[in-house]
Amino acid sequence: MTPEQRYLFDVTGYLHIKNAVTGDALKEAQKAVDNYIHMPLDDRPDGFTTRPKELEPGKGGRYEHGYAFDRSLEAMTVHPAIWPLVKEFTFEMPRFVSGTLTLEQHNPDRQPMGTNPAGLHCAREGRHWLTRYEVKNQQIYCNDFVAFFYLTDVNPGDGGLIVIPGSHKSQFERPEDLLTPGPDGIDPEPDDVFTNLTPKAGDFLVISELLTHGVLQWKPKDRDRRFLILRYRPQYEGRSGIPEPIFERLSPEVQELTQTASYGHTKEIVKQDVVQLSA
Amino acid sequence: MTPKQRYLFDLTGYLHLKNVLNEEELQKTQDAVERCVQTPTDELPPGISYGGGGFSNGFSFDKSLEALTLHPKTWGIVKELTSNRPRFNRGSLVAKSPEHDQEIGKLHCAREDCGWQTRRYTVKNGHIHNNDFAIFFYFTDVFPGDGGLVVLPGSHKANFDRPDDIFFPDPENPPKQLHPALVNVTARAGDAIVMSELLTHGVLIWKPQERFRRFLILRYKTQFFQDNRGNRDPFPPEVMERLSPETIELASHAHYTHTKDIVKHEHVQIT
Repeated sequence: MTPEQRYLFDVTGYLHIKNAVTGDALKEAQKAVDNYIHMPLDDRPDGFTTRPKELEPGKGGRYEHGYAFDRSLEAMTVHPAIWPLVKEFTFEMPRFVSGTLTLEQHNPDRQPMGTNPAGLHCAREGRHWLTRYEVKNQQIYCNDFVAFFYLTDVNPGDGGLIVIPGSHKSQFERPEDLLTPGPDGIDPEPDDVFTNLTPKAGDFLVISELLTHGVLQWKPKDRDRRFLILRYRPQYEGRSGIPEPIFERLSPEVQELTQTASYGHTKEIVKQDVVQLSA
Repeated sequence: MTPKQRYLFDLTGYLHLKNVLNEEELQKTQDAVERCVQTPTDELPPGISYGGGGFSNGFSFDKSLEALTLHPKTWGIVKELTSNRPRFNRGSLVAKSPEHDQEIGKLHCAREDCGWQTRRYTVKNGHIHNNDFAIFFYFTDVFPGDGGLVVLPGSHKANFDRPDDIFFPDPENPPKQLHPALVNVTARAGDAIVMSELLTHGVLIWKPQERFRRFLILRYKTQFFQDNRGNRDPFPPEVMERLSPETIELASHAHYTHTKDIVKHEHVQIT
């Protein structure tokens, strides 16, 4: 993790890593995603579930365990652009929790969210203050964070992810009327307090789950938003919930990364600066 | 301080308060600023001097400006941030012409300039404590793209040193697009900006050729904090002489156990 990354993440609660994956590696990942989402329901390998259930091929929703569909996607879990962050945030005791492929399309039926436009939320609000963000010995510790790997472009004005920079250190509850709902009741009126992040295909966004975030209505009708949601926690927190058929598909390195372990244990994978998947 | 103001100041390190001045207050203060600007420098009231587009102690030029030190819409914030131990210690009037600010005013903050151990930002018992902050009252408009104040939201709580050149690697040729972590604060006439001095801030090049940039910078600390000027009156005797008793009390040093009379009031009218 560079000093610049460390400073920006500490101040804002997120990092935008541009052009992390380019060329053939990006094309391969994009093709794998395309194959997965267009695969007929009956052909989907064991363990690959969707939300909503039995999502029709090509439809917007969550394709659970999408990272495990192809090695080119699985490789993103330990990509060199994020691996140093994963190690630093967990103080070298990482556990990969889950990796969901999300496909978002323009949805005229999306329902308004009342006084909470864009559906703002963060781990502090939903998980009883269990989530931590601290700095010790000039390193950041973060016990719940996400790396979003983007497979398609998001341009200004498209919609998508919004964040409230600095909110990962908030010492007060978010006022209910922080943002004013716009005419559609989904997107908020423009406000300096939030930032709409617009990554391009091949970029990573890394956010602390303590960072307040939400999603603007996806506006383009001719383009969708495709990204992997890769979640990480320390190895000694929680239990692995990866189904057996998915676990069996993974390379030995990622299998180790998904496993829980005592805080006294050092995983083999963290001894590597660059992780190469072996099978 | 409202819950929303508290939440936003805690997150970002600054507050943009819109329409703080009513029409009458704005007109009076704008007129006073114009008079000050039109006064030949050798005829300025004693204790006010001009240099580089700023009038030191300019707040004391007129009672309408002095009254802003205790403005009802910012007074509650001043009291909360100092935990009811406020001291007003500087009030400069900025009246910049288009020829000013043609270079980037470099990013800085009190943590970097004055020693990390001297300034504090903390939250206790549901209240914010900050021992060094400024309030800017704007008398002219700033629009997006004009330039002016730029801040790095959240930097008042930074745990790391700011890497050199992270935002403006070449200040002579600043990037056309601002780094996404930075915010150019665009206040309109009558607005106020409250900003922790721990917040990293600077000044972008002023673009408009036909408009001026005019605002008052009022600086506050805790009454028991000694800055590098030591334990003395913050203003020269000739300025102190024309201040109202309430402003004099606000500007005075005091022990941390002492409660100033003015803080017992929710609204203070200068006499």
